Amino acid sequence: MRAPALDEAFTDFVRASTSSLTRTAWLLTGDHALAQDLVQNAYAKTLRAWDRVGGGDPLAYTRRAVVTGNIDRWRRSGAESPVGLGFERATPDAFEDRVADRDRVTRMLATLTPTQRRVIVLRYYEDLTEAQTAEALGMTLGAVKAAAHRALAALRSHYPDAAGPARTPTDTQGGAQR
Amino acid sequence: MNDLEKLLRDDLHDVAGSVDIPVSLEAIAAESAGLGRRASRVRWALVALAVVVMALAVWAGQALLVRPPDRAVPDPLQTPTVTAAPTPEPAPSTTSHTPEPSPSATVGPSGRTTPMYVYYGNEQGGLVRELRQVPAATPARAGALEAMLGTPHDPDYRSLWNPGTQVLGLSKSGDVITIDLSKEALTVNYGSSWEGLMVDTLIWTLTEAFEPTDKVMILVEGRPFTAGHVSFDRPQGRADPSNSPIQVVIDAPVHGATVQSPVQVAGLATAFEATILWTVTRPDGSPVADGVARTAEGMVLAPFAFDLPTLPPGSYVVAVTLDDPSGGAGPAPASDTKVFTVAG
Repeated sequence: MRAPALDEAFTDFVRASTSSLTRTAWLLTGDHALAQDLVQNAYAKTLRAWDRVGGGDPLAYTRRAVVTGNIDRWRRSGAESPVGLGFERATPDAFEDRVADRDRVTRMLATLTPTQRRVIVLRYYEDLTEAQTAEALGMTLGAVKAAAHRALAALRSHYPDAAGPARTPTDTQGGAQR
Repeated sequence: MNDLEKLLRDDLHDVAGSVDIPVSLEAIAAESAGLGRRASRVRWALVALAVVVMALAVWAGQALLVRPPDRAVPDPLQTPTVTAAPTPEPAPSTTSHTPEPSPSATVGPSGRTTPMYVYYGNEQGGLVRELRQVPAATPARAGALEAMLGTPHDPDYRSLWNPGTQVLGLSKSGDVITIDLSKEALTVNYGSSWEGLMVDTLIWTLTEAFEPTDKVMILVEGRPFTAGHVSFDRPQGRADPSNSPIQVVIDAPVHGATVQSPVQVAGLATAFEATILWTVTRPDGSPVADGVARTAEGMVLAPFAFDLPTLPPGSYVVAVTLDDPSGGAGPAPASDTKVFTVAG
């Protein structure tokens, strides 16, 4: 029970969810090594609780561990990551514009508060509904709406091509965009 | 989704889609094994703060005398500082005494007892505990160990150790408690899959009696304890609260208690979304009341306390169950029950 054997269902779950969770972690941290630590630690927590969560929704459990792990890091350091800190350079075969894109998005996300950043990543990368985002972050639905609204307003300047004023996201409530 | 949201979503998917971060199953397994041995003082302190308030409410609610904890950072899982109310004392007295495990505090007059949490396993493989009155005359920690090796009051709980196990030695150096057990400890009662839980009951009981942040080195006749395929050759502490072996345990009311309505139910739970479900039934299973309550914090071991609605005199069973995030798809969620009587 203390160090459960890696059963097949768990390794299958890890293989199936690694790319999604590591990319979420990368968007939350902007750092390759931190994201790796965060996800491996979250998987370790899931593994310890596998008897309980394995038959249920291990992805939700692990995602929540990723997000709360990230919260811990912010709380410990007392501040969010500085802009562009530890930004991961692209692999040699990647294109220069890919590097520039990553850099732009990482810097843009770093302008958000930690809560806003988590809401944006879960809503627009993980494509969770507002209700699912609220559940994953342990926030109320209203707090998620408010954070998304403020985050979108803050990000608007990065998208001069987007038409119209920043709208409240309430009209897409319930993940109608999915 | 408006233009801005679409552009943002496309951007996130584009850039993240090119990120490739491998994870190592070996690293996960090692981390998972290590999680059980690491303590997070930050987490402890946060949970502890919430608990002090709750503990006060709980124990005051049971008409027990409460004293503020002695330690600088009170531990939520440490035995609360209360009077030993049911103690058969020579004269009725409300003198409070601490279960502080220093010899001067625990060696009392003959017949005195001190309350101490003792840890057991339950049938679901979870770690649970009971507040036991252990003799204060011998060092209370020895009494706690004897209680751990003996039979718990709650019939749903199990002592996982061979009751014939003798404590050959007990010492502490720095933050490492070393306990030497007789060879009976190698005769496991419940099979090898229970070894981790078995060791947890000992670690938690001992760190309850000493300090919750201590580590425990288990020896059997001088050699590191080996049970089945696991060798516990290094000192081990309590698990990090986010990986607690305690899933849910009801501390109050205690099993078989006779209490006044309204009844406050208190305990500890590691609840996914901090949500716990409770039911009250008659002993024949007929429902009386049910509801939802919350722990102080989700995902980590955290205290809970809530009041039951007013109940007429009689016998009842209260059950607290973890909210099932799988919606019934997974195994049955952890639960704990207590039988109690409301006095007329």
